[in-house]
Amino acid sequence: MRLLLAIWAAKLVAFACRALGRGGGTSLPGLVALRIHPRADSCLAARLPRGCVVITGTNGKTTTAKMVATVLRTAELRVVRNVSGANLRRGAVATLVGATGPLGRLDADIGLFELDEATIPEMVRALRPRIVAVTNLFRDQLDRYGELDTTAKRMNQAFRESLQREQTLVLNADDPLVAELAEGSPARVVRFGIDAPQAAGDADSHAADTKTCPICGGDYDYAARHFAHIGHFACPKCGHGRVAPDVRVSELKLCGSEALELAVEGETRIEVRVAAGGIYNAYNVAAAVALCQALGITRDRLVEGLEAFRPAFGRVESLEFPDGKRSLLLLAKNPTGMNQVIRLLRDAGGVRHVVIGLNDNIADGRDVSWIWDADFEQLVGVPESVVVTGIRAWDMAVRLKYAGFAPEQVTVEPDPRAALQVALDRSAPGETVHVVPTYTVLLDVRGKLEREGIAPPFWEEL
Amino acid sequence: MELRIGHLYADLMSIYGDRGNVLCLAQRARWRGIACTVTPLGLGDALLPEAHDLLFMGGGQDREQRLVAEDFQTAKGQPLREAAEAGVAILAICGGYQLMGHYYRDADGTELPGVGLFDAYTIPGQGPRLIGNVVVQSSVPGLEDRTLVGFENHGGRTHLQGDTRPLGRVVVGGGNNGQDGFEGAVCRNAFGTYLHGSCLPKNPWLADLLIRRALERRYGPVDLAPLDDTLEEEAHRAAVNRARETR
Repeated sequence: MRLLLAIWAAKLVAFACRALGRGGGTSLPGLVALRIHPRADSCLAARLPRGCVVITGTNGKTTTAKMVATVLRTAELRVVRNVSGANLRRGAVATLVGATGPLGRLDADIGLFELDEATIPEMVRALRPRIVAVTNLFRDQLDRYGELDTTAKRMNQAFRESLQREQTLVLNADDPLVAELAEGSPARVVRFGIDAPQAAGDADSHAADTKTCPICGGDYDYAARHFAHIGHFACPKCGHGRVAPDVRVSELKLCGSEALELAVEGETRIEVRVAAGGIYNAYNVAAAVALCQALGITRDRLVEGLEAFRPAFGRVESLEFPDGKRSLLLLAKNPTGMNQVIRLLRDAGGVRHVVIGLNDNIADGRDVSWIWDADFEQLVGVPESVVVTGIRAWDMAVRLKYAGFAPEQVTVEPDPRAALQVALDRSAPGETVHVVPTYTVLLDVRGKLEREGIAPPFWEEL
Repeated sequence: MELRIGHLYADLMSIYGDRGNVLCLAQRARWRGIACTVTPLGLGDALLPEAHDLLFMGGGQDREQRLVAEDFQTAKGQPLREAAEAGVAILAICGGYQLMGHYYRDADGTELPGVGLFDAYTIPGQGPRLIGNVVVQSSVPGLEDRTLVGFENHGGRTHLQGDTRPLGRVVVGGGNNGQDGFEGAVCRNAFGTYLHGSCLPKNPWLADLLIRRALERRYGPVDLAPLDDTLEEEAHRAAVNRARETR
């Protein structure tokens, strides 16, 4: 009864949010439900006939979740999934409530939740997920969580104490910090990684967050470094190193900034073309394959689903303007993400005008220091002009100045939509403006584009 | 003229964008026609006190701090003290700053011995980590009319003693220990601070003061040509406003 009350109250709040035009009401209803029934999520999740899956990690959560959701829907499963911005407990609860009918019946077969790293100990207990997948761990919002090692320690503790034998951990074999997370856990472990020479990249080692072996403190050696601290690592002192993955990308071809062709070998071998560019997306594909395999999805459905995948909100998302111009939204919220976007801009060719947005709201991380760890030096000579925007636009302008951009190449326009317009006005018809925002700059500019009818509303995207 | 920067533990102590300070120093020297070299000084590398005009060290996590503290004991501690004694300019941020005092006791109670450039010590805080934007009214001679801005994120509380002076007084934020209202430490040409941001690009007057003191040891009185700091000053102003709004 109390649960029903919680559901109704939350539904009322969600309805009010939408009626008032306050976005999709993706978190507040969850807060209300939890206030009335502190275990609302546990109770609702237990009603999902096929249980639920949790995806966490610093980068790639949203894209991996969307890939898995597309595959599951291809396999004719009804999926309930949270939106990327609502990745704390209240967001998960709001999502479950949204999928529940007025009599408490859940209109879904399986739950798919992308969750913030810091919520994992709490959420592993609350949701009892069949599978927990960890994409990678980079520094991101250290101002909220303190140090990266502490985050990893807490996750490992949760996996040791709260997971059972019948639950599965899907882990990135190529991330030294993630690879250690299963230590001491009774859960079954499935590892994914990349074994394709095409993945080797520049050693942007100052964005690498794990440089020394957690066991003996020695410096890692890399047989292949894919980006940051991700690759085939081994400690020359104590021999601790990468475990061969169960699901591996064995062939990889980059097709411009918007697609990948790859072969993935797990229980079977598949060959697919996926609408997502960049090496980092090859990891997202590998994670999605490992997850779907663990859920028992057949090979044909897996391939069909991956090929039907379209990029998630703001992750290499293309938007068309009425005058024939185009903009590509490329979310970047930490040094590694930014370096991957910079690599993508270099490889894309013909990039003339770029917008870079930097906010320091809580969802972005209050500390903007991270921009000094990203390799903007690699962007010099790529675009003709950059318009910097957001609350900390001047910090970004200073960063570009010290990277070597000429003063006349950089324009400061704090309002994101106005900044995009400056870049669009400089572009010719048919040309693409690349927009690289942090999270709340993305929400801001995309919200305005929604109201102009250029972008679809993001909560309808699921 | 030539500015020779030694970057202590560049790969280990660099978690909050502190390398931006080195990029800033090098560019501001080069824009004035001063040649600049940056030498990374890693674990086990020898530190020659006479080989550098300016030494920089950033912040790191506890794990890295332990490795560095050991390297100070076995290799670089003594030459670093000699360099400071000789007037080499030094800037240490956060975890680096903590290790420039007498000792740093971390949250687990482990005590790491420091270099002792500052008459200071760091102990774990009673309250939560000090995290957020910081504004400091500088008390550095020559910069008394300036503010310094940055972002702090530390659990340890640093206490100054004896001749070691603070960098300034906290206007917004926690500072050294969240209690006495001081931020940072200055002793001769050695500077320590909790300010990330990166610190120097948004406080170009502090960057130039370091460059001048670094060069003057070898070249006598130096007049640095003024640079157009419009963007830096705007970024500084935006950070001050943001500090007032967010804390």
